Amino acid sequence: MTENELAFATISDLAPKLRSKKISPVELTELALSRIERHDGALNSFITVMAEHARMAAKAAEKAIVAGDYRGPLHGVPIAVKDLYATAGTLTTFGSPLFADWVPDHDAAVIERLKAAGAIILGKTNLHELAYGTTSANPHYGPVHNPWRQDYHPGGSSGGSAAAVAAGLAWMALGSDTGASIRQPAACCGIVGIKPTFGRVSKHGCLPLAWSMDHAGPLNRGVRDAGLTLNLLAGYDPRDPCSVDRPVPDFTAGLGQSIKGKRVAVVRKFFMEGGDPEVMAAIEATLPVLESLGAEIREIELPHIEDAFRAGTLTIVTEGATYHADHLKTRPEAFSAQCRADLELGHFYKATDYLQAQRMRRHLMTEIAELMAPLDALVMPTSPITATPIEGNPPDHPVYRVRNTMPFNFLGLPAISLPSGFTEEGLPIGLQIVGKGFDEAGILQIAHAYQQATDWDTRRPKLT
Amino acid sequence: MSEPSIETLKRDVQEAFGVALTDEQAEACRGRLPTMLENVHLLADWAGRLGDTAPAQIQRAIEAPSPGARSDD
Repeated sequence: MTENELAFATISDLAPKLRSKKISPVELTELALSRIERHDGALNSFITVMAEHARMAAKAAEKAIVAGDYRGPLHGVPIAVKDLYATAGTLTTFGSPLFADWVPDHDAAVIERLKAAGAIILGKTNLHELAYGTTSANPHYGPVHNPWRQDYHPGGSSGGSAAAVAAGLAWMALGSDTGASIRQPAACCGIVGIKPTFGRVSKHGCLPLAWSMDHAGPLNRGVRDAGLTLNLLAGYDPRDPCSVDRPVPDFTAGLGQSIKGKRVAVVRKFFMEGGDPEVMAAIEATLPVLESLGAEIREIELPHIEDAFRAGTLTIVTEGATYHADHLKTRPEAFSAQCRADLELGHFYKATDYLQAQRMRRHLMTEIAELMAPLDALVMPTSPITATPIEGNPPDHPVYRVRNTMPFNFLGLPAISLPSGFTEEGLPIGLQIVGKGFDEAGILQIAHAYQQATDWDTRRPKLT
Repeated sequence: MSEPSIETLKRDVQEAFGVALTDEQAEACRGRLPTMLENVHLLADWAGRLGDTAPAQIQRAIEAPSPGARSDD
């Protein structure tokens, strides 16, 4: 394999080679660190590079594999972690001066799982301030640049994680998603991002933005990699009050099986209104592909989805304002003016407003469960627009960036974004596939079939 | 539709949220306040439709440790 082939390989490709000792974790780690050195000056995807830790972990992984103690597909694979997860002994900033010097003495639950599986953590990735935003233009740590076009945003808030995976600096990265923050950057950077069902992956050790909307999940280069990573991350954790105690299936079991007869509904109303016509055309073009694979394509309307979006925005801003209330009072200077203003607005809503929104939420969760009962999945654009310029961002874009994704945070449903085309300008487009609660395996199966039938995931950005 | 005047915005915010904004505050939040006001009206529209629906909640009972498991040392 050439250096470039190795840098852009999937975990599914690498794992058997690592297991059979054809590739060494040390070699992979050195490759990643040299690429970070070469390219991250322009991308700014990392806040902290953990070179020394990564080299030690790589040597330990190599020793274990040589001794026959192979722990699974992430063993010896260098990965990156959004700087929203507590990492023992390593600076964890949450993208904010509030935590500029914080070195936790514990690992977040997902970090514990990744370390136990033998993954090698390369560093902590840049993000939107406190994960509250969708551009990753962090005023304190500098903006993240999109590998496909460096004067554009990578999306956010997990923009550093998305840029690192898309640029071949890490083979997987952790993200978090409160309204869009895994799926929208995945779409903007031409990679795969899955937001699991609410409660499926523990958030213990992850800074909250909005307790009832936050989800932890991975960003990957391929759908199979997303399944492999989710196998590792999913599971009950009593330390997370949102964690759900239910069996975790093998999310890769259905990959490669036919999707013949799967009932897939496109939702044009709301999700395909406005936005970029090139995005809409690309999503329309996914339908005959899915049909050719045996899926039964239907169309459905979700009558109150805009209301779910609105109640979701209210929920995020009120929960965010509550979590940060003390910091807003005692250290207002530690917030950017924009972040502070956005959070302070959350104090305007009354307790009764918040509770009415949660009553709506229960009603809408039941309604969508009934609407989805005869279906296997919904499809729509992940975002109605592609990545946008860092300078001169159009004013309607902040709403567009979360419009198609946030309703599924509010409703708690699993959703995946995968590459489904490029604009004439060369910017990636993402297809979002939404499943029934706890049916991540179902959407992964459909996404994998689509990815196998297309080659969007094989294109690479030209890095400087 | 034209943007509401600062005076209208201040009056609507006072009515919906009970918050008295200065002209400067209203101007600074001008982009976001109309949406927040719409959200409050949306909740009012829904109130009559929700019947006895209870709120969605994140709630799990916590099992207290048994006395034998407690360490007071």
